[in-house]
Amino acid sequence: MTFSLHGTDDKKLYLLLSSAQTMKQANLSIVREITASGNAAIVITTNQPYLILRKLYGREGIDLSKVHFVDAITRYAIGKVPDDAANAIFVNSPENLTDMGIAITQTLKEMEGQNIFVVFDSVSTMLIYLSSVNISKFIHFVSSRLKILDVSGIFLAVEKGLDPLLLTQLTTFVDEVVDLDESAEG
Amino acid sequence: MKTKMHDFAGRHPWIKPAVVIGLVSFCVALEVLIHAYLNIAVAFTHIFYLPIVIAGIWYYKKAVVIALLLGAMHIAVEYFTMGFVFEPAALVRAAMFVVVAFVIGSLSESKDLFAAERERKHKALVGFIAEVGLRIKTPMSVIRENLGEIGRGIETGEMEKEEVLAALQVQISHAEKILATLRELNQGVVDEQKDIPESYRDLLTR
Repeated sequence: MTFSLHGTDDKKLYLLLSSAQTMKQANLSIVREITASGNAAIVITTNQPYLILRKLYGREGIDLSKVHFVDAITRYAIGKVPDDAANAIFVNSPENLTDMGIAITQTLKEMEGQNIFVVFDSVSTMLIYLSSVNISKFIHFVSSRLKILDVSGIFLAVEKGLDPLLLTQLTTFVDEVVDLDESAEG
Repeated sequence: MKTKMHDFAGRHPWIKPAVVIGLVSFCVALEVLIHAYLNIAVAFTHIFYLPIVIAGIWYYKKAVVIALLLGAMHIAVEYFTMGFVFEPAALVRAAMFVVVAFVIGSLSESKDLFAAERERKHKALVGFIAEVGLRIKTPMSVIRENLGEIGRGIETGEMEKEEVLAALQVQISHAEKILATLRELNQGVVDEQKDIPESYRDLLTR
């Protein structure tokens, strides 16, 4: 894990490729780095529910007041949302891209004025619920929105888990593609 | 063999019109030499079917134009060589050229349309299978890793019961969705392949 956001003043969009084993660690270290440098993070999750992420971040000493969640899995998989949920919007299903888009826009509006990083975890998990074509369209929508609002974005994906065509399309939506495993070896 | 010829014709688009024009010119030469010059009106006209059939295969019903051209030429030569009399045999031959051109053109067109439709469906099915395969392989590795994380969380005592339950529920949802995608794939295969026996059809879509 050698990817670092330090020294990146430009609002860039990144596609971070990692193995399935290091995906969780990548998420943790990125959110830790974002919040530690005084920035705010919006974590869009389709894999780890809010309850788990909140506790995980808490255990890692991450300042939760700086983290907002757009959770598309809790309602769908668990059925009910935690009563004490804070800074979180729950979407009915990862398949509901319209609601997810609205939730992201709403969260970005709420956090206007702050230096925001949007962390998307993960493109690979979305493949469970959506076709490559729909994922591509959605990522295009999100990345365009982030570019317009001048917000940084980090899309996490399992390396070698994406259709080459989808990967090519995603590459055109972002400013930089980082292979975490390759950079760790190098 | 067919593919090789198809590839060759694809690489050299001039080859098909050149063959048809060459054969038609040969037929015109035969008409002039054998019919008009030697005054023989039978047998050689069988050669005319060569450009007509080939044009029918390649250009479908447009071959009728060639048949009309050759037929008109044959009737005209017959008319002038027979002392300005319309010979019924020549009229029948010319009519046969047109009928053969139309039949071959129609059959060839419907055969190629059927083959193109089958190819299109096959490509769509292969694309669908590739997409579904991707939507199973990657998610399975995600689930495997998530389950590993849950196991490690329980082992180290990092995860509380509430977290373990939530994480397991998510994995169940993921697995259910993958199963639904798999069923969708089977349904797609069954819908595409009409000749699958009923018992296997039932097994695939269950």
